[in-house]
Amino acid sequence: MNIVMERCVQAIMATAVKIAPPDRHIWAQAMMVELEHVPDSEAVTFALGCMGAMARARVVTTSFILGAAQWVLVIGAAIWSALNLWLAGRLSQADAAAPAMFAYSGAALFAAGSLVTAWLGTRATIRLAAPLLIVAMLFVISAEFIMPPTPHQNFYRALVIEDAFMLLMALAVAIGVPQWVSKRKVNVR
Amino acid sequence: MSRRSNISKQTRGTLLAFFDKPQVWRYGYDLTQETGLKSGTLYPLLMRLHDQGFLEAEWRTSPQAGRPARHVYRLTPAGMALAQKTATATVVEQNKRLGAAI
Repeated sequence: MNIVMERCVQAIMATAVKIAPPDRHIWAQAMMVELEHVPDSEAVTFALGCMGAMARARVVTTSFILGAAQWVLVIGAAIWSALNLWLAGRLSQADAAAPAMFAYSGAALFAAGSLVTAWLGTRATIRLAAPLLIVAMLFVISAEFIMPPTPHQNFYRALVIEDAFMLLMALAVAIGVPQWVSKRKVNVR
Repeated sequence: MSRRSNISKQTRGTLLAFFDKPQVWRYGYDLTQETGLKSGTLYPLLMRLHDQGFLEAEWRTSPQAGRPARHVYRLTPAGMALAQKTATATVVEQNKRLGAAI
């Protein structure tokens, strides 16, 4: 095997060992040693297979799945906040001050949710989103009874319904993913 | 309670390869040759069988001085029972196909 190919193979195996989760380090070491006994013509394929195996092992770890769920929530909330902000900007340009403030509030709430989730994790998402969802649903049900008649009432209700839907999705991820991971662990034991 | 093993075609082939010479410890590369599986398929399969208690693994000192120890694999008694069951099921399936062809 020429020196370039050898370095390539070594780099691939080193990556495999690096990305291996802690409970698979022994297997990664085993693959690395085994590579020395693989013919040169098959070394690259063998090494790539090992890296793939360790990547899969890493992706199915509990910490990776929970971390991924957390970042889905953080990024999702940030995107929704940005969309609300964009809408608020458009409403401001159209001199619709009250609806704009409504959208700015939504943007601020979701931005806060994104930051808190990034900092404190998915439990913070549940603690924030659950009461907000209840408030949103109450608003949707009772808006026409509690608000003075306004031409924008349906628009406010539509915004709140959209936000409520996003809060529901966030709760589904924040509650569902850890529960699914726990069930997986019970099955494996 | 350990999870029931998934008897995929690849798992079946690996179990049968072990069952062929049940007391012999096998190296990873040799298994790839026997089973025709690539390392990316074989090693996750070996890890799963090991997690489920069907496979035992140990480090075997290299006969050549200065070379690192190699990982070797062999079926546990539970793995042997599973391999036996798989082998029987494979023979039954083959006979059925043969019968259908005739």
